[in-house]
Amino acid sequence: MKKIGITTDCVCDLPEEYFLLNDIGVIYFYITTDSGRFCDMTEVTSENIIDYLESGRKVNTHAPSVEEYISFFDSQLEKYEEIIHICVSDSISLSYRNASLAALTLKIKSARVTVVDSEHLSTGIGHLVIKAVNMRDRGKSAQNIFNELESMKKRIRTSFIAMNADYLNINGKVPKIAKDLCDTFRLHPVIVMRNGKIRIGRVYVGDYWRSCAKYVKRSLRQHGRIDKTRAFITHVGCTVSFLNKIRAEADKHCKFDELITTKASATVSSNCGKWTFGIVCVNK
Amino acid sequence: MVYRLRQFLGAISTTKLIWFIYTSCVSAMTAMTLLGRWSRVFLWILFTCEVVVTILTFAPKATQKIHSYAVTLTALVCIFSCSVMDNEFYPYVTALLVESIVILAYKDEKVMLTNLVGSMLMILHHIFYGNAVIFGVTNSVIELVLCFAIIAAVQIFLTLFILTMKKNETVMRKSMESARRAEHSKADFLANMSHEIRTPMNGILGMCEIMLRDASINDDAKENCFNIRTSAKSLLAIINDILDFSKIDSGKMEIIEEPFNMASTLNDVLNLAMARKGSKKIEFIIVLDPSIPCGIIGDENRIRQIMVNLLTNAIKFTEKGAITVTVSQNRQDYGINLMISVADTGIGISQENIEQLFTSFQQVDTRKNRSVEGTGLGLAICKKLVSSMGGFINVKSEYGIGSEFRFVIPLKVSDSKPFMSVKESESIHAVSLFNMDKFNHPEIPRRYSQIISNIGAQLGIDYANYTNIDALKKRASEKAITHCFISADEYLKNREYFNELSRTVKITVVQERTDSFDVPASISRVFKPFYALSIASALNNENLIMNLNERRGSDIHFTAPKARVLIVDDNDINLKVAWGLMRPYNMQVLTAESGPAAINMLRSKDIDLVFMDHMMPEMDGVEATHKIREMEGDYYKQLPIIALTANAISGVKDMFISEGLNDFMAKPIELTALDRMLRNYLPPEYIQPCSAAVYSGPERRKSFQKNKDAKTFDPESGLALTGGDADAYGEILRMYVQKGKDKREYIQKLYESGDWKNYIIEVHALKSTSMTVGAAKLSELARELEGAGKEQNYDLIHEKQNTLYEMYGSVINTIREYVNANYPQAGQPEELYIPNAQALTEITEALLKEYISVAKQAIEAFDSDETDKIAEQTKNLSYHSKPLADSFGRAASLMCDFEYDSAMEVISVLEQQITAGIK
Repeated sequence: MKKIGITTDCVCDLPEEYFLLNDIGVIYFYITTDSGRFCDMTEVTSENIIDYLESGRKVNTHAPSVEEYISFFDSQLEKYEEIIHICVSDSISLSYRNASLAALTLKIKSARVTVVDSEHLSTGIGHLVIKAVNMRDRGKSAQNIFNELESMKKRIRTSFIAMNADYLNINGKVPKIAKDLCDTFRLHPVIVMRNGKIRIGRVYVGDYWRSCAKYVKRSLRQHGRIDKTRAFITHVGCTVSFLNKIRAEADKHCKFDELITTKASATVSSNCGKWTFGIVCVNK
Repeated sequence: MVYRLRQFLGAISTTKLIWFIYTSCVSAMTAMTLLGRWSRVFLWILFTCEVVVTILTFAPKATQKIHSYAVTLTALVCIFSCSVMDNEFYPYVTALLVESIVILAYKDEKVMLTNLVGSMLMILHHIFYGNAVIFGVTNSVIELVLCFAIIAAVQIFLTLFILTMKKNETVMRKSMESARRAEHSKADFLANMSHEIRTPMNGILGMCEIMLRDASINDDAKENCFNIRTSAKSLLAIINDILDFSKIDSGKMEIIEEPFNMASTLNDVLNLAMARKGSKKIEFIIVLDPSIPCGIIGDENRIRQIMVNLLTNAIKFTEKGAITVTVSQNRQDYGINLMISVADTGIGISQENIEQLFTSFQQVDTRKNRSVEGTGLGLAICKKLVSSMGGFINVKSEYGIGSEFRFVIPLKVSDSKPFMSVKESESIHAVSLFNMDKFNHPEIPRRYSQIISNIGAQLGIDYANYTNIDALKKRASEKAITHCFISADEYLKNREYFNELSRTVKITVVQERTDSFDVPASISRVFKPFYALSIASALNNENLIMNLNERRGSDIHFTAPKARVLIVDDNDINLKVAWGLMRPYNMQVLTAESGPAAINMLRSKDIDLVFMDHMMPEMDGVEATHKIREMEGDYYKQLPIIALTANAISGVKDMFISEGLNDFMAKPIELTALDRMLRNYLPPEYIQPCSAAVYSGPERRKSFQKNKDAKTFDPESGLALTGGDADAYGEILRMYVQKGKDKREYIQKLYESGDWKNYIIEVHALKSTSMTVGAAKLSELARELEGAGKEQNYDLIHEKQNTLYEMYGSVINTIREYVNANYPQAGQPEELYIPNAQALTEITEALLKEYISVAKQAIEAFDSDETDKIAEQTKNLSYHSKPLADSFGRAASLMCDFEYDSAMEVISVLEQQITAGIK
């Protein structure tokens, strides 16, 4: 039996091949529509949700329940002696709470499950997962991994630029007046994660592509402080040509060893809307 | 605060907004009056105007028009009074202009003109009674003229603006009307075209079905017929695609949710896919979750349509490798999420093209895919269908590697038992021999290995796969095997071993549909794709998988010999088609060519179910139904009437039900739909389940007497050679006997005249027909004489011709006896077909008894001429809607064959039926 297993929520938005290659356990969130309940990534994708929302209908997203976490951890504990599970930020989802309760329940059976609140979403969590996997493969202990993750999460810069505030309003993140103002004055809000909470950062005005270019430039402006090992461009419903332009723009400001383009999960997509993307990187 | 204000402003109407502005202005004027110490009269004027406007604003019955005039006139009065009080004119020009802009909100040019007139009057007053102008002072005059021009220009401009706006609105309204009419016309066009296109398609497909079930046509003709049916179905599929797309586009697609079994759907889809695969070297791999419930509630047709679409695309774009179909489920509180994916090893799709994949009318990469047929509608339709069922569809692809299309649909469950299970699984020890090395794509062994490794656990049986014969032999020697599945290649390489093994082990050979090799009777065969369901079927001794002939026909799972069904259609081909499709159910099928004919037939009140065509001349199906429902008696109110129509546009079902029909079935008649209708609407006690492998009714053959030489006539082998259809075999035998007499004499005549060329032709034909019916010895002799003729070995012919002649006569007699014993007169299929019930004349019981009496006398006197005469006289007669040609014609035919006893029996049965009350 292997020593340490790394598991995470599906909203970490890492490519599926990465999970398979590194034997990362993933637990899936759920999207509820008016006709059913669907598993993120396996049954419903980001494109499906965008189409659904653009037809004027609403969805709800749910983290797995405590029982589902227990069942998930149980299955992972058949392969590993102990588990480190990295969750989406506690302030935006119940997953950390449910996972912690599940871990507590399993502790009674002497199972060792450590739950980490990433204080991020999307590939912000992804960075932590990759770090954990690397440390595990180098033979580090669970405690070391946990400590490093707690330290690393303060250095992760998770932000996204959205074309408008429609989806943020639908999900209650911003009031309607903010959405109306964005529509009227062609404002493009930037969503940032600060101390585990979603905040509206800067707001760009005017043509969306120009705003995106400014956002990329600003995100990478202090490139001396950025860890150039890896960064993610995580997007929702962007075309290939648009993403290529973003990559080219990012390359102008900062050369990364790996600049990985990933698609956001359906859960994340339902909160941002089409044409949203983010540059997610880590400070040194 | 701002948010609330905006919400408030957004919610208020034009009149209220204008009242608010008006009130503010009146308040300002009131303040001016008080501050300027103007006459109190003006206060009263302001107060009165305010009250009038307020009442008109909040009064429920006050229209916007009244409000607009009230506001305009009172505003003019207020401004005029103010200007008079103030003894000034020019400051109030601005007020007039602002007032004009505010009343623009009413969008009424008459109000604006009223305002203009009022403004002009005010100016004139100030010119003549005020000090607006000092005549003689040029500047003053110019100021006045300018003022006048500005006020007039602004108000005229605003009036023109309103007129233009109204004109644009009218144009837009007309365009929308026109669009709505065009939409309507499109719907009508589609409805009509749907009918006009589907009617002949119905004829083509139905005739093909009938021919495919006709055992008298040879395999080549059957193959051609099958190809015609396949092409016709493809054409119909394209037409349906176009109609479906239009339906979906206009939001009129109906999703019909009914319980269905996924196993049956999958079987249908795979059969279709295998037919479409053709000669491509593609392996179909099926991965099933055996715990999928056997009863799920959804629109089976649409789900099948989506699967067929995806599979068709996969086949189109894959030249070699594998197509993997995965069917799985996730349990939910409401039932299940059914997940189906189709993955191929085809050309794949680039990421840029994935973005436009589900867009209508586009086949991606059209230059490259020019040779690939397709309207490009398929995926767009799939997406819309999945969406209308509350599900989602998505795609993953890598260019040059392959694609995977996956869709998920939420469904309720009607029966939670697993759709796949094996009886007495603990006693089964199954093995298989499949060598994966031969496959042309590395993906295939990987996927097969995955399936095979799970089969034992999925079905709860002891199961192991071996990749070479030695390992299998070792296993067979060490531990008992009950079932063995082997590929065709392995069988052919080790034929003797497996033939021997089949004595103790149930062996199933898995073959391609194009493979042709013989196996002994102890070995069964199953067509690819080979998957858990085919294994389960084989282990349960069920014939869920069709053989070559059966797949070209259709499965019948029940018969209803007591049921009487009436088909009403003005088109005789449609009647024949419908009759032919219902024939295998062994029902009594009557036909009528018009509504009045149907009504006439229904007076006997012994019809159980009516299929009523919609579009007929003189009286259409709906009108006929009304008349039937108006007839006296509960029978007519409750008689199930199913609309048959080629018009499959959405909404027709509701229309038919509202007109008094019970249900609707689209033409071309889909066999599953027909099956469902018969199950739903025939009295349950009439339905008799039967084995799916048998087309027609219950077993009627007696076992052949053991002291007869089986080589002379072996009905078992004859039945096997003609596809296992007992009824069809009976007809072949009858035809053999009927034609045999003349043929025998003709061969003898050719021999005697020395016409060897034609002699060879005739004995050649005799060789194959005799083999077909099971007369192996006669066939062998005919083959010998044919060979002798070709070699000009006439001595042999002289030696054996007499033997042939005698043997031929003996075989004819033997077969006649067999037919008489095993295929009695009642229930003869072709006699149930009444081409035109309208032409039959109903006779009385007394007259019928007279005919019966005469017929009996003729039979007792061995007078076949008399029985022929009676048959001729009664051929257009009926009694209680039962055609008498059935009985008297049959008796006459038997008389010709000297079957006097049988002829008497036929007439006696008819007599008994009259006594019992014919039904």
